[in-house]
Amino acid sequence: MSTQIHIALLGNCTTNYIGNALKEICSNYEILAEIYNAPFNQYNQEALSPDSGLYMSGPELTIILLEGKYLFPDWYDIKTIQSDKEYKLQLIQNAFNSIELLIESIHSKMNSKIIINNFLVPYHTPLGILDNKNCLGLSRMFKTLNLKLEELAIDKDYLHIFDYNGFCSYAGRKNIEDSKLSYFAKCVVSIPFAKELATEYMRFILPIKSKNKKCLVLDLDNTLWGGIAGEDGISGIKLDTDGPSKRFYDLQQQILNLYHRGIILAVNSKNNYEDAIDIIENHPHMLLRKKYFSALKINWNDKASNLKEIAKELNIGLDSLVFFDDNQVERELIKLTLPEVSVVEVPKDSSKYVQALQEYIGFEQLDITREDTKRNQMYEENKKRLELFRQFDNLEDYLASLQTNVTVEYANEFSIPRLAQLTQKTNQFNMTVHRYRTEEIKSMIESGNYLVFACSVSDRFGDSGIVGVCVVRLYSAAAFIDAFLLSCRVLGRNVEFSFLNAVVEILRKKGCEKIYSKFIPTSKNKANCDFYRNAGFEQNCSNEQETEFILKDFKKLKKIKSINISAGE
Amino acid sequence: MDKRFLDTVSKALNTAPEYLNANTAPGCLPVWDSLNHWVLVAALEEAYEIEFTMEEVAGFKNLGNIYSLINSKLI
Repeated sequence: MSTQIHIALLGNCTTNYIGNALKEICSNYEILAEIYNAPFNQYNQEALSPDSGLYMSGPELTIILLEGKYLFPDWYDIKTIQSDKEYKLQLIQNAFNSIELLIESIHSKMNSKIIINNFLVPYHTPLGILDNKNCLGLSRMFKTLNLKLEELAIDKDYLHIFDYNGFCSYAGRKNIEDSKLSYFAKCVVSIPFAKELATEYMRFILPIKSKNKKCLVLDLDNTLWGGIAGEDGISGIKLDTDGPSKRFYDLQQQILNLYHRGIILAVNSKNNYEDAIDIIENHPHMLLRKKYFSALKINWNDKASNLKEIAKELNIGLDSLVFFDDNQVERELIKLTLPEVSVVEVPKDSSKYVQALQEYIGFEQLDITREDTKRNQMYEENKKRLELFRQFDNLEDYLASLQTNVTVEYANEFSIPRLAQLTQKTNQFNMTVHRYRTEEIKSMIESGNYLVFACSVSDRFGDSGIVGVCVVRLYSAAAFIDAFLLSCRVLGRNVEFSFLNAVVEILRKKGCEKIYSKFIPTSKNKANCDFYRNAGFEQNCSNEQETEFILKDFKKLKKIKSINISAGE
Repeated sequence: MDKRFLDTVSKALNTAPEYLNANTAPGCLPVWDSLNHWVLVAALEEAYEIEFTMEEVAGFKNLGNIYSLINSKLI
């Protein structure tokens, strides 16, 4: 072949097989390609050192392949995405600066054309569907960096940006498009891929219908680490920040990102407790320490019973649980005995675990509220309350010792999304189970015919945040409580009576003489049917669907002395 | 080890079939280095339309055991 080219490959990933492919394809075009592969991940050293192999090989073309996930692993941490915009802009600028420096370093030492790949813009991100609602989500961080790279190359004839992101997208798109279908029927997505697309839309539909999941229950052996705790012990299990065992570390990182946006974590493992805890607490590469788990079932009982106990302890329904276990027999057992539990089809290949978790669509949220990011902290505070409870022999003294504070305020633009979320998710202590969306609450308040209250609860152990909603419809001298609900997190502490007291007091000051309320029974709230009666209301009328109550004598309202009430304006 | 298997290995490792037997193991042949190991994996996956898991690849000992593994996956 009379045409020759010297090509150098630099990268933070393995490039020699790509070099081989280049050589083969070039020869198909009658070009003899000599390839220099820089040693793995030494692109900076090779570029900076004037007598490196790179310069010795005298390439006419230098191709730089930098993989974003290896280069910026901390960008994929939810804590980075949740930090402020200035910090993220600085990260992008630093990244761009070091790449610009790399290119200039090469250009100053030799006359080679340079091609650099742009960065793959990730589809799966720590914030999920909310990534592009963030002022600067992960996807936009990479898009911004890619734009800066393009701008850098515009006036430099020695520099080209290879649209690697576009290439990956196209390779995917070839699977999605069906050209016959497109020309015959103007269908953009192929028939089989219509289902894949629909599955991705479920990421939105599930939270809209409050069917998103709250808790991820994890197996340990061959799930969070390679190997078996009881057999391999802390020194034998596979878990590392580099090499093939990084697959388990990366899975733990994904799970930790879920924790930080409010997903509860639990363990369901057949193991001796000590063997498992030794690894969880002491293995140097374990990310998911004991404190991140709100429930730990490490025993030799059947996993279905464990799941039932987990649901009970956390006070959530079985239908809020997601089961992630590498063992197909265990998964089939749960699918058979507890059909409400969501079971992830964990692939046989553990290198695909991260992908399986990313492709699981049930953990999306429409809104990440303050309560979501602090939910797990609240579970820890609750553990402390339980420990205190064991020290008392009667309920009243225990409750008094909590020094509970109930704050009742009018809904405002910051609290409305949380209030809407509560009306969607609360099933047990919910008198009428009316579900409201954010827009509905806003228009009710704007109409002037409704008052919407937010109830927050705190005690000596911590702040539970906004946990209650009350919606009152105003008439001339009367009011109707359309909605009254409290998160199960604060039940059993009498705060419901204090909440009601605060609302009634505000209504009394507005000139209300009579307050009506309703209880509409459902399968989940039946246990609370006597709340209004116990609070001092009288039954007004009743039929199969509902019971109506009335409060005429405000003095009859039950008061809880040990709870401090503040009512804000 | 049948012809399909030997041909696939031979092509992937750029080695004549006469030099390949059940005991041939990675590292035995200079050409069977870490890079070509993955070239071989890809070639076998394509030839047999199967996918190896990470654990299975980690368990590759020699051509004989790879051949048995492939047959067990095809059943």
